[in-house]
Formats: sequence, structure tokens, C-alpha cells
Amino acid sequence: MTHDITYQNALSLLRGRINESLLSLLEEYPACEELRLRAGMPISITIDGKNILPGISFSEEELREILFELCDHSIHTHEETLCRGYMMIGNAIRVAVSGQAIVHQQAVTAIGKIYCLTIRMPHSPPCTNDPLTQKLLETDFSQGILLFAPPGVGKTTQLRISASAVASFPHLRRTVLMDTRGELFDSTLMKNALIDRMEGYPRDVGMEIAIRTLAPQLIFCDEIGDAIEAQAILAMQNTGVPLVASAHAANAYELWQRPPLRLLLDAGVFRLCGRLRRENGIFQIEWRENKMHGTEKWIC
Amino acid sequence: MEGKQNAWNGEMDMLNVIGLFLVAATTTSFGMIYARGLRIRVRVMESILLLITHIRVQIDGFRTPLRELYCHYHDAVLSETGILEALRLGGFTVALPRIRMYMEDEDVEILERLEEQLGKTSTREQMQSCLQAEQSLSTHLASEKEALPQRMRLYTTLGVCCGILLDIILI
Repeated sequence: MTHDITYQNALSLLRGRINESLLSLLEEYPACEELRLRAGMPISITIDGKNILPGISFSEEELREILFELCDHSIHTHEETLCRGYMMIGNAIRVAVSGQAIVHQQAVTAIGKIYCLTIRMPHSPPCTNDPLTQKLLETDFSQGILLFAPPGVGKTTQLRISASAVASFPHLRRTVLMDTRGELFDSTLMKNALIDRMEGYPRDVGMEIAIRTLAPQLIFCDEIGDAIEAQAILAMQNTGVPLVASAHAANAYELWQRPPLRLLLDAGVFRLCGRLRRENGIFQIEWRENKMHGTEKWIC
Repeated sequence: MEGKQNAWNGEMDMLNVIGLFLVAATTTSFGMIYARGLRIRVRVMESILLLITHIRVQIDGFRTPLRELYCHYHDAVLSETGILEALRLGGFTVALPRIRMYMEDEDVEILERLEEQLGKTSTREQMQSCLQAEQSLSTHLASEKEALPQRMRLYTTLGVCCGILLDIILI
């Protein structure tokens, strides 16, 4: 399934999975970025950051039925991701699910009541320029790179394009895609690439398996940030495999404020950090060298 | 004249014998068809049991979506009976009326309970439901299998006996 899907493709993916009234609503608003359904409350549509209320509401029971349909009558297929608050439709449309969590041993094991479903629609064609691969080429694929930006800028898209480029002719690097959320891989884009895909693995477990068994030359990983992941990344830092990762942060200061990321920057896992921006459909990365790792602080 | 009468009587006797033979053959056939129906019921039950085991393994090991699971599943008995096609159309919800044609009400109830859980609950709950259904169905299947040869003989014999009885009445 390709990620470069248009709004119309997304609608056809949803056809048969959501009821006709919602589908016609999405057809009525082709610029819709997000459709948010709340139990017992009005639904909203987000267009260009503004929220519109079309005057429809659903009960909790109806939301449950919609979720069941979105899961193609197989909740078990999406169980792991649902417990983490989302599900993917055809590896292309993300649906955020929130409700009443059932917690067992400090982990969410199920969702009791469904309070909100947010269907995120693809709304603009992705950027196709690739400053990240340029930088990887300049450094001869030898340095770890951390890409950061707020949500929605296109970190995943940039990582996907770059992973595909470095793993394809003429570079042909053995590349592991740590695709925990099933969002990075694109079967069309990566058709002829040397990509080893690891979908759904917790990153710490996946990293270890990748290093020990797949002998990668590069690892791509989306949205790192928790402490366990940081420890796993630290454990692999001297294995000679550079990591190209992304993280949520609006600026370098925010990046520095997150302890797991600070740990990685201090340890010198990432020699380069890049703030990603998208202007007029073109990716721009503002590079910053992480020279001050080790005992000295990384200056923002 | 008497010769003609004798020939007429002889033809009538022959027709009577043929008629009696046909009556006996029909009832015997009914008995045999019913006995074959019993065998098909057992085969359907075996196939359903295998399907539930397959569903359990696929859900537990691969989290396979049910629609995909039914599409890739092959079973000659379920195909012949049209159950597999119904499953592919809409899962157990659509297939249950067809299954009801081949299985006892008690067994269909087990499948109805399974259908309420399948695809709608957590993996653990679905596994438990599958295991429960498998246990109940295999107990029933074992007793059905044990009684099958005896019942098949019984229905075939009953068919023959009914034919003979009807023949005696008609004579």
C-alpha cells in the first residue's frame, strides 16, 4: 500500500468501512484534514486548522460499531495499536482512538468505552525533495542524524523518501526500517530497495534483533523519545551502524529539554541534528552539528 | 378366451411385482439417503471444528483479519455445502443459517456464542471462545462418530423394512 495517496484514494479506502453519511460528508469537504467523532457530542471537521461542526452526533454504541467496521470486523488485528491509541487503515490512514482504558500491570490492555475517533485524512501531496539523503551522502553514511519538527511537518515522509533513496541504486545500502507504527514502509516507493522492514517490534527489541541478525548499514527509525528506546539506542551506538531517526520538537531547546533525547545527544549518538521545515511543498532542513557531546553541554 | 385371460392375469402379476419392487426400492433409497445425510452432518461438523482451530491459530499467531482468513481457507466439505462461500460473504453471521441445515440446534448455539465474540473482542477472549467451542463440538462429534455406523445401518434397515411392510399391505 502506498503512502502517496490522494484524498480520493483515501475515500475509496474508507468506502465500505464507514457509513454513507460520514462518507458523503468527507466527499462534501475535500479539503478535510481531520474528521473527529465524539460519543454523544457533535462531530467536527478540521479544514486548514479551523474546526467546523456539521451538526451530526453519534452515540458511544455507534462509535463502537464504526470502529468495528474500520477494523474490518477484526479487532484483534489492530489490538496492539489500539492499546497505544491508534489504528491504521491500509497503512495509509491513521485513526486515533481514545476512550476508557483498561489497565493491567501499568499497561493498557484494552479500551472499554470509545469516546473519540479521529480519522486523519491525507490532504496534500507529499514533498519529494530530499535534503536528508544529500546530507547522508556528504557524510558518507557514517554519522547518526536526528531530524526534528513539530507534528504534521513531514518527518515521516522525509525519512521514507531518504530510506528509499539510500537503499536503492546507486547507493544500495542495506537499510533496516524500524517501522514500529507501520507508517514508514511504502511498497511502491521501496519496491527495488534493499530495505529490511521490521514492523510492530518494540524499538528496543527491534534494534537488538536488527543489529544481531540483519547486519544493516543504516537504520531508520521514526519518532524516538522514550527512555527505554534511548537505552536501546545507546546500547547499539558503538556497533558501527548509524541511526537516522526523527523526534517531535519545535526547536533545539525543546529537543534538549527531553531527557531521553538529551541522553542520546550527550552520548554522541547523533552527530547531526536537523530541524525540518516545509515551505511551499519543499523540505528544508536547518542543520546543526552536535559537537558538544560528552561532558560538555549541547548548545542550542 | 381362457388363454387370453391367463395372459392378462400374468401381465397384471408382473406389473404388481414391478410395482411392489419399486415401492420397496423407494423406501430403501430414502433410508439410504437419510443415512448418507448423517454422514455429511458428521463431515460438516469435522470441517467446522478444523475451521475453528484454524481461526484460533491464525488469530493467536498472526492476528489475521477474519475476511482474509476465510478467503484463504480451503475445505472441500465446506465448499460443497456452500458454507465457505457464505463465510466469505459475511462471516458466521451469514453462514449460520446454512450451517443450521447440517448441524443440530445444540451445536449451532455453540457457534452462535462464538460468532458473538469473533472479531469483536480482544485476542485473549476470542481464543477462549474458540477453545470452548472446540471442546464442546469435539465432545458432540465424538459421540456422533461413535453412533454413526449404528444409525446408518438403522436407517437403511428401516427403509428396507418399510418397503416390505408397504408391499405386504399392498398385496
